[in-house]
Amino acid sequence: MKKILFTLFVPLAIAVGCSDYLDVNHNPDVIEEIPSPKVLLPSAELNVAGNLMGWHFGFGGGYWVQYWTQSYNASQFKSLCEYLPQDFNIAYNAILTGALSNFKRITELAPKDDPTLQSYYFIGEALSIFTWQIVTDVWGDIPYLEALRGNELLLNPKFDKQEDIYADLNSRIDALLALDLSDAAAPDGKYDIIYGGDIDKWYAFAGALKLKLALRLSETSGYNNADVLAYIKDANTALLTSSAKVAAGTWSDGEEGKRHPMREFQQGGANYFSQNVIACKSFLDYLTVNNDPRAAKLFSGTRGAFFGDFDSNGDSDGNGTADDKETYATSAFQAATAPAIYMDLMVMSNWEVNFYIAEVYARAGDFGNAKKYYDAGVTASLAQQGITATDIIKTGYAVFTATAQEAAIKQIAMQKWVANCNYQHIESFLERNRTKYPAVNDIDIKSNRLTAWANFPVGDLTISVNGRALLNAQLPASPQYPASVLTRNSNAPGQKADVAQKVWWNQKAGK
Amino acid sequence: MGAELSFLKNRIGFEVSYYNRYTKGLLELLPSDPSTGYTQRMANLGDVSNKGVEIALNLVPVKIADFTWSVSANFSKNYNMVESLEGVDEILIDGYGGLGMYAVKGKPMGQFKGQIAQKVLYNGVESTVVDGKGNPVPTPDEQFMSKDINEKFRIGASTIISWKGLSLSATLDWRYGGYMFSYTKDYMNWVGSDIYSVMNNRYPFLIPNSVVQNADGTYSENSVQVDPTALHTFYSNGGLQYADANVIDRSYLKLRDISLSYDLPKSICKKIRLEGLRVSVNAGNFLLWTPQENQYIDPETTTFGNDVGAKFGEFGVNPSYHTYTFGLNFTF
Repeated sequence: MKKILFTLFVPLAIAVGCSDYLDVNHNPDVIEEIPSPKVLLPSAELNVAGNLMGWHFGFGGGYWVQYWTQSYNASQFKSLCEYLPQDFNIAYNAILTGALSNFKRITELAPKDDPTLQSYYFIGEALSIFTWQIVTDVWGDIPYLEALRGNELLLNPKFDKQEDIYADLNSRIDALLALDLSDAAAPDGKYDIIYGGDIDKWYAFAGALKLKLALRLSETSGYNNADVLAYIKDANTALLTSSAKVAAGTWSDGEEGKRHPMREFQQGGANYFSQNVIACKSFLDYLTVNNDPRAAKLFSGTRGAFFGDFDSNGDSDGNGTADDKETYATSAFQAATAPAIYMDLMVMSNWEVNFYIAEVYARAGDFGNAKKYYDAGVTASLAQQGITATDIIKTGYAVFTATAQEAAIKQIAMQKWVANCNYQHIESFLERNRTKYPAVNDIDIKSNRLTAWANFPVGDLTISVNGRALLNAQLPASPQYPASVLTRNSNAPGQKADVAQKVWWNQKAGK
Repeated sequence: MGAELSFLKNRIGFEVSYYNRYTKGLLELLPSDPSTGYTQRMANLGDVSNKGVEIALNLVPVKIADFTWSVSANFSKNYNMVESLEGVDEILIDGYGGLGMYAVKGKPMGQFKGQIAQKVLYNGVESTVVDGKGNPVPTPDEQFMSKDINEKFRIGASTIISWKGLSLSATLDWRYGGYMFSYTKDYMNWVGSDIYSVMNNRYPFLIPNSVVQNADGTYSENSVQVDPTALHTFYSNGGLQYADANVIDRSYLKLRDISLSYDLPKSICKKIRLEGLRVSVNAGNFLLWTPQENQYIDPETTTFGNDVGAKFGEFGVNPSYHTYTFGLNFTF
């Protein structure tokens, strides 16, 4: 009796466990089903923010708009400063496989018509459009429509033209702004590092994003300023007033891996700032000559070096001390304690939006409103850096005096250049390329250093001393394509010839 | 297929075998374009064949009373060929930035491809194209370098000498052929500590047989020295060869181990109530000889995992270690 029972039970036990036993491709320690779209939000937001002021965009942008230059006694960023081929591959890999992948996943997990989840859809879609714009602005033509579909076995996504990408981004932002969020449940603030779950601020962010997408194409044939002006003036339009940022309190400057990215590059042990970063004369002189109060906050010291001049053996100011022995101003990021005002990592800043609005008014000939928003932008930048005195726009060098379109665009662009230092480096680079201000001065520094020093073209960019020959006196316009894309994608085009290749919207005359 | 023969009461032994192995649908972790949202995928690489021969020889040249000396040697040679790939002619297996290792249809696995110095034929002489500062110009696209990871042959030898309870043995391993990437060499050129980064004692020099490209596409003889204040740029880019400079010969000869052991005679063992006692000392990874172009690293080290990709080379790996062991064996 016992024996029969025993033999009956054993096979049943094996049979029940069978289907699990053969499922060998599932790792029990890895989450396969994502419980809620909010789980993906923090790392995706930090991925975008971290890359905006990370290794490639933070240093690449910072050097290419001449806030900084490579120091004389080290070599880490020489290749950037002498315009050698760069591909910014770390930023590309991280953004595509990290942030953009996650934003796409969030929009797939959060249906846009489900009131309990649609706010996550809104945030994911807004940040996806925002990030895609930056990726195409930086690299130009890239895979877009066929991208992020490796799981559908689209392993060789073809490259889309920037014009087509912008057309799709514009239709996406319109669809997003048309969503009815009246019943939407607020997103969980603990998972939203940028706005803490305030969906109204996200709506304003999306509204400003539409403006940014439109204005970036200002030099292309399809740009219609009257439409953009009507959009700004429309009562239903909400535009960002509170900066979208990763607030300073998010970081922990004493802990490995928890610092603001620029601090990680210094405090993390590698000392990239103290060894390699010095102020560039192009930027620092503009601030000091004009008594801009932000100079003393952005830098320690008042002496800047010619851009890309790190191999100099000369004595450019004729004071008896060779260039490589002088003491140059250093960046606030290398201070012993983290500079609190610069620890807010801007995704989209309030000064940026004010400057966009000012520019649209200027293009429409309404200089009164252009001045109003220009002043608001400069004030916001000063306030961010802890400065309440707004003398520079009342009586100082930055008073808005333009009465013609081009002069107005220049004024706005110059203050944008100043405001973005230590905050939005890649944005600064992109806007410089779009507006062509600061302008580029052709002065040949190497042929006569003393003259160049004594007659420095304050308020202009100069051509890298070491990079002049390589790009034939042009400035960088976009990085090349990462090798990880070209070597692994059979539909990829050939590599760009150098870093001076302009993207489609970069059509204004000038360098 | 093989044969094993021995003569003279096992004083001379001889083995030979031949094999021919065809692997269909080799599985490999392949890199992906990050635009797809993924950086890697596990997929079928294609079909690969390995054919080869192994020969072994065992000799006991001396065997008298308490003294024996035996020697054995083996030789093996493998022919590797990528027979077919999934729909393409070449697939990247591993690598980084400007240098990669590819599976190419119709060639042995692991062909190196990267940017090399541009060369042109100028007045019948192969010349290096340089830029306005005297530095070599890289080819815009990556090129195959006719270098691959596969060794041409390997020979091993070991010997044991024993007399009474004492035994001394050693093993030699010789691998010949093949190439690997060395980041150690790349980095040493970045910081200037490589012995080859002192060309002309760092006084100014002109790249021999160098030409510059004129605006109309023709070439003319170069007269610009490599910028003596910017030697860092010259060497960190690979000097005369660009990325080719960092793909070095992976041949080596190793004295893999030497060991000396002593078995206490049974008579003494019995007195201390043991069946047997052995004392031994062993030195592992004892000596390494590499060709002159490899002043940098033990070719057996790698930082690229433990499958085919590992053969790509090393990315700043720690040097390998000698190991010394001392052993005491008690048998009860």
